[in-house]
Amino acid sequence: MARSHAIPTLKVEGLETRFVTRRGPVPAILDVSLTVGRGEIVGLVGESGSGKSVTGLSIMGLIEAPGEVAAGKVLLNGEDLRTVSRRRLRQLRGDRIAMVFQDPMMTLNPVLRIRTQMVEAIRAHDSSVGAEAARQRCRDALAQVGIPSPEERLDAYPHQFSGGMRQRVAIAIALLNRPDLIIADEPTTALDVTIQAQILAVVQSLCREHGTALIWITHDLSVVAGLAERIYVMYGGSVVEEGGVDAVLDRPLHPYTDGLIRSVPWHNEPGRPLNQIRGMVPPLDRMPRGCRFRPRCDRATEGCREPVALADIREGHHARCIHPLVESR
Amino acid sequence: MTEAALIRPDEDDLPPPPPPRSPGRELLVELFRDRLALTGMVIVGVLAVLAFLAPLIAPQDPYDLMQIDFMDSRLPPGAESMTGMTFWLGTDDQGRDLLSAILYGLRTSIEVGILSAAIALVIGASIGLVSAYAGGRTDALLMRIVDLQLSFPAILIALILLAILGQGVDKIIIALVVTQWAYYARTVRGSALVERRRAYVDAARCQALPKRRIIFGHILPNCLPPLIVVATMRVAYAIMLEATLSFLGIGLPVTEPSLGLLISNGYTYLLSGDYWISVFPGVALVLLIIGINLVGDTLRDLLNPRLRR
Amino acid sequence: MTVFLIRRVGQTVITLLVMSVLVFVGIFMVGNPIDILIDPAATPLEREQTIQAFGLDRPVWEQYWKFLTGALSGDLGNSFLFNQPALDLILNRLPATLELAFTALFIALVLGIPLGIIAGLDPKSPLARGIMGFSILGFSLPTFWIGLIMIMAFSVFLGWLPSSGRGDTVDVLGLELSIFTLDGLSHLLLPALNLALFKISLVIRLTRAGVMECLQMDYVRFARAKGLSETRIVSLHVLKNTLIPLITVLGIELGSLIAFAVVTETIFAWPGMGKLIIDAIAVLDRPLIVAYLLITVVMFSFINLIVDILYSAVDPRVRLGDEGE
Repeated sequence: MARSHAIPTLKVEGLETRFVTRRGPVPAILDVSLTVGRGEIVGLVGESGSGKSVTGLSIMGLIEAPGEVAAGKVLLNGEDLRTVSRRRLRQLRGDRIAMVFQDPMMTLNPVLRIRTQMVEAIRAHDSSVGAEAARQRCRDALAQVGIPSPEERLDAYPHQFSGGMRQRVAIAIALLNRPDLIIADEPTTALDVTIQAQILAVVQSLCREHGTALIWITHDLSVVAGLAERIYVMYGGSVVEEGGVDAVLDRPLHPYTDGLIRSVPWHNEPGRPLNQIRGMVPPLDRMPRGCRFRPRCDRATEGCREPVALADIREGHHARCIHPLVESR
Repeated sequence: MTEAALIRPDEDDLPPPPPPRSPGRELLVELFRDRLALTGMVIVGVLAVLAFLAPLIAPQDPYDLMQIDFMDSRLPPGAESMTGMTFWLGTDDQGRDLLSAILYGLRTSIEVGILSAAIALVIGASIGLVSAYAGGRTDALLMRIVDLQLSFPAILIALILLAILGQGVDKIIIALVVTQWAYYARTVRGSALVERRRAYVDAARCQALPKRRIIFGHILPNCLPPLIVVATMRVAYAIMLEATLSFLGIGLPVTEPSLGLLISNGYTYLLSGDYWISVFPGVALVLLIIGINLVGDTLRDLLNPRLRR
Repeated sequence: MTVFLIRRVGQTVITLLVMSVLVFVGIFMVGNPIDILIDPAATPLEREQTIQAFGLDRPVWEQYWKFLTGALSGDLGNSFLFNQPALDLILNRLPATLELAFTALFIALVLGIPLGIIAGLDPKSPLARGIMGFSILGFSLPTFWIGLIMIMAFSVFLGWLPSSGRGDTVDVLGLELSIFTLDGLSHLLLPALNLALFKISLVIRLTRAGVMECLQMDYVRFARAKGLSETRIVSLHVLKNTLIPLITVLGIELGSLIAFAVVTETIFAWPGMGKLIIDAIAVLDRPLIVAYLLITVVMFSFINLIVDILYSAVDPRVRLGDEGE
């Protein structure tokens, strides 16, 4: 779905992050490019180890030693986060771009009250806000994410909340300064399915309401199916397929995406053996040359030993494969 | 689908995995690579060798009353005795050659330190294992005792015990054992509990292995890493505690070689300028303790799973 | 919270009782109790009288009861050495030892925590490595020996500070404290520093470990994602999480300082309990030893209790219980 011609909120080009190990640098993500338009909801899908979380952290500049972002551009509203001063990065973080993490238990500091952790997010970007005004904003934010009795909840500590509530608080904090983009790194993975649905609904409606763009990182295809407009599929540290969510899920191009979709158990007829992608994801430091999916692919040929670029196969629908599944299923 | 030949997974040219090294060897390699630990090991090694060869290499046996002459007392370093022997480090107030006394004293320190740690380890580890495996009220009771013991400073416990038991090498060792066993018990129990919950223990039990075999064959080896760290630090502490107690006069009896006693003898002469009687034994003691602690420190960093990244 | 308090106090009382039994058994029953309590130089008649007076011919539990009631009313017999009530002797010396121990604790915290934070923030930096190296030195140097060296250096060679004794005291709330006089301070400095050295290392290491662990936590990452300054992250988020566990350690360490003061007091001739007890052990002055033990045990239990209460008051997870999930 084409967006307006304004500068996209986020444009990532050729991002590469690697970890320095005793045996040399190991790339965790390689040649990752993303675009998120104003107010667009994008899904970033992949298994554990695919590099999706690393991508999110790299965009935010939260990668720490022994990891480092080695190459690429991260343009937030045209500004390259990789080259701005540390001060500017701090200004932008929490204000124009925010992040929600996976484990709500440890995202919030257990020894500080909720209101402390919320007010500081406001004050860090606008120290002129008065105590009462800040408290008011926090109260409203909690109410918006659906937390009952927000006034009392402000003075509570994180351990007095359930997991779902804590995640709502994290989302409320992310939205406090009305950022242009939120990166949500598997925020519902650790929660029950029913809570998951609630959180999804909250995030979706708030993003629509404020025009906030969203990158939703997950391993769960069903989540992105109902939420995102476009989706990126990652494998082995690179984007292997991208396109509109319907296009990718109904007519996948990359064999991995196809395998992923087929692996979902409810696609299977009971009694028949479950579909699986044979083999396992190789460890980061032992990735095959060329196409990284090659050892597990039924369609691999000699030509797959060469590095493959992300190509535009169908309009707006890209895949990193020289044998894409162009015929319909 | 092209008709070009499909490649099979096993034809892949992935780089071969590095040969696996046993965790023990891995640890030793890391240990030797760390400069501080290496320094520590060298120091301890040299001192230990010198100490154990003391009867052979010391110019004099300073605790054989026939060999010391009161006329030689308080001679500065480098002085010569009537018999032509050089007192490289001077003599103490009894006329003992300080160099020899230090070597013998180191020997005692190391022996007492290691012996007490070994006994305490065996006792403590056994209690810890029993406690972890028995669980329930036995565990609760034993750990209460351990906590109680650990809430009192070692020196106090040693003071009490020595007040009751009196002086003597065996009494010191008993006192040192009592101050230490609780550390081992707690460490082993902690590791054993974690290990016990691991899947492989259930697997072993399914195989109907006898309990003793499970405990000693499976659980114990995995308790070793923190145990080694604790043991190293406790040996250093035991050595220091023994020296402290001897210095205070309630440790080893005056007939035994002890660095603490040497230092305490020299204390009275410190202010009048005969510094060597207290300083040199102290330096030897400090080197020994620092050496052990350097090794123990590195071991702790290497074996700590949480701080390793 | 009140339930917790009651339970803790109850535990303390039980601990004290158990300890009193242990002390009783140790001192009064190991070895010949008659020789223990009676001055070796007494005549047979005096022995007989003392046996009667102490009830040493009575059943054990009766002796224990006498001991316990005596202890609770403050009567633990007279010291052989000084022929004065043992308990009074110990209590007279207690303030000096406490002053030394608290000052040492203060020094250890004031120096150790900042150094530990620096070492933890950037562990690979040369400064951090230097601090850690210094800390190994700190707990490898035996207190007694380094005390001697300090005397040699600062008193004998440099002549800056006195080498022994306690300075002028000032009456504060009934206690004689020397820390408030200049002379007192100059006498206090070396011994307190000596005593503190070992603990400084411990505090540095604990703080460093705590800081390093905190920095890896998700909430620090989240704080950065919020755009907070590093200063705030360290001074609030990290510090609060690091210092709370430190409190529990402090209790044990204060007790350890009080016990280890024995060594420092001997070297610096500081007129505290420690010096007294060493002399008492040397001549087997049992009433004095018993008095020291009981006072120490009571103090430690008390300190542990206070620390527990303090910890539960400060850590919100303990204070408010778990209401979530």
